[in-house]
Amino acid sequence: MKPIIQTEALTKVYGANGTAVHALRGIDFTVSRGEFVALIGPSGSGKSTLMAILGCLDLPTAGTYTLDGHQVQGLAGGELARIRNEKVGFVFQSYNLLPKASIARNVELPMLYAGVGRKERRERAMALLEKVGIADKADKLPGTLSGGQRQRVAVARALANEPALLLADEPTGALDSKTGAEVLDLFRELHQQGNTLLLVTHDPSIAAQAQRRVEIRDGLIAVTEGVA
Amino acid sequence: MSDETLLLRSPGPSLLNGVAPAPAPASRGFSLGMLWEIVRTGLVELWAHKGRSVLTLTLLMLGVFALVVMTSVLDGVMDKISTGFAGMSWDGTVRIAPKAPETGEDRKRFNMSPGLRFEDLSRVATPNPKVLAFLPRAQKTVTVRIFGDSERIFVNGVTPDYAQWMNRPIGIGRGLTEDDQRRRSTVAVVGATLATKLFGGADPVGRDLVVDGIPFRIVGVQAPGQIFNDENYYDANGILIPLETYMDRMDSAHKLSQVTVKLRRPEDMGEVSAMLLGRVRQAHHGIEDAEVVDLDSEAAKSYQNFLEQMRGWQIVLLSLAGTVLLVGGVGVLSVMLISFSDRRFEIGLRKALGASDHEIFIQFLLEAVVLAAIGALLGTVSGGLLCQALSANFPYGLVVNPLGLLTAWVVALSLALIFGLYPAFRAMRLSPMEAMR
Repeated sequence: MKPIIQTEALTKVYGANGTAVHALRGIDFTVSRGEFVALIGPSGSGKSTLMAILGCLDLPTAGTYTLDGHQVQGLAGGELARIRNEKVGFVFQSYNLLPKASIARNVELPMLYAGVGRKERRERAMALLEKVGIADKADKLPGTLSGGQRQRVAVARALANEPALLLADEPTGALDSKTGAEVLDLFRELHQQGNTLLLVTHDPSIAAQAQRRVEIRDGLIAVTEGVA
Repeated sequence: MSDETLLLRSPGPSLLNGVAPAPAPASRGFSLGMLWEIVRTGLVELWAHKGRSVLTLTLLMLGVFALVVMTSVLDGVMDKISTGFAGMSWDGTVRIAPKAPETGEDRKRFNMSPGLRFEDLSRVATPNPKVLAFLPRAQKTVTVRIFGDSERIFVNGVTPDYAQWMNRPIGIGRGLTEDDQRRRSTVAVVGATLATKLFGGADPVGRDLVVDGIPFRIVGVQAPGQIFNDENYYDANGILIPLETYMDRMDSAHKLSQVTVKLRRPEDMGEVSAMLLGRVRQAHHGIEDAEVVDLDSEAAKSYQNFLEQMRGWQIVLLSLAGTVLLVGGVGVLSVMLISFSDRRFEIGLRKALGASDHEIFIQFLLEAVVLAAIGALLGTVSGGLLCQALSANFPYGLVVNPLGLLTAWVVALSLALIFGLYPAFRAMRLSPMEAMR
């Protein structure tokens, strides 16, 4: 199947010669369309750096990265923002909703930057909120919602531009185990519907829910488990 | 409630699976929707931090307010004064008036002269082809009693042609006539201000006004007018009576306060002035205790003076308004910098969700402009209201000076842009990774 993510010899170096930190030392990593992959590793392993590069938040120092057929390395800021906007949907540990904007506006935000018209934005946001089961909260502010509900809003927002890749960074980290399990159920559901998911976590029990587990240590892929 | 049931509830093609229709072709770049989003976000931010917003808004508002009111009031004052100067029409007019002694020596000599008197007119005011009119005037202050109140009024002795030459139109009744002069009638034309004071709105024509025990029959009332010089004031707050009557009944010393001389051609001024001065000296036994003043150049001089003063005020007020606006601009800078630090996370998030650097830059810049625009709007409205309230005091009303308004807005918005640049630049440069950490 055509890969969504394909990296070759991806490296990332922070800082100058003397104090350089090699966060990634040559990652070859592929995720096919429709896969559900967990990226695991202890803190300092380079998994956050890898996630940032895969999410087009940052550029690699060397190596190639192809996202859904687009070369990402070497892109200028504006193009990177555009790819990020169209191809990647983020779900963060701390939900990261704009506290002063309504739920619907939060979900509309990626569509706003994609240039989607006001009416269509609202319709799609409402449809997405319907899917994640909190359409009735559309006009509420994030502060009035529970953690689980907020993470659902974040998922709806991540899906707004129908991204090629759903990137979740410790999505259950701030939730109690029951709510966390519900959110994971939601991810599994999304996977079954054909979405490509990359879940970053340090928790092996959460990683176990994925089709495939990739462990990172010291900037390199250490172990891969499961079937591609 | 499980997620399966939630997801199953939704009918129709799912937006969440891979086969859903692709999103509409994205017309990326700057859209109206984005502009509105930015303005909205800006307003929400301003509202969320009312304290610092109000502080900055107040400064910008005051600056714009000051500029609007100041330019408009200066306009109004200029209108008023210019109208006044034009209305005096002292083109080719000179005035013979008693000279103030400059030294003790002068005083002694002047005391030996009878001064400017009614009797001088036979020598001074002889018909002359270069002179259109001699307008002598005598004046004293008298206290009159009316309806039990006492009122200080000016009694002005003038010739019948005074009203015409000095532009004192009649509002009610008639003016002084040659007949009055010949008969030495005890008739009076009341000044507009005095008439209002004494009789309210009632028509006083035909009534008597007792001045120094002499009843004067009121024959007319002057039309109200703007007051630009002393004579205007005396005439409006007094009565005009025939000069001969004045000399007979009011002043046995027959003193004149001045003789205004209207020339046929302004070019003759030098010649006629010298001639008049000579005649006065002759009449006063060689003592030069009167002077001839060119009223037109006096007026021009004082008009220039006035213009200079206005320019001075303009500079002072402009600097003040400019300073206030500048401080407001610095306020915008600090508000936007605080906003930037407060919203690092939001900036990072927006970038993670696809906002480009320049979209973030424009967002911050526009927020600064929105802030300034609200301040300017409040300043404009309050300034306009004040102008409207003051309008009655000016001859042509007080219209908000469009140039002043434009200047105020341009300055306020430019300052916001300039001072908004740095925070906007910092927001633009912020990496999403760093901001979200």
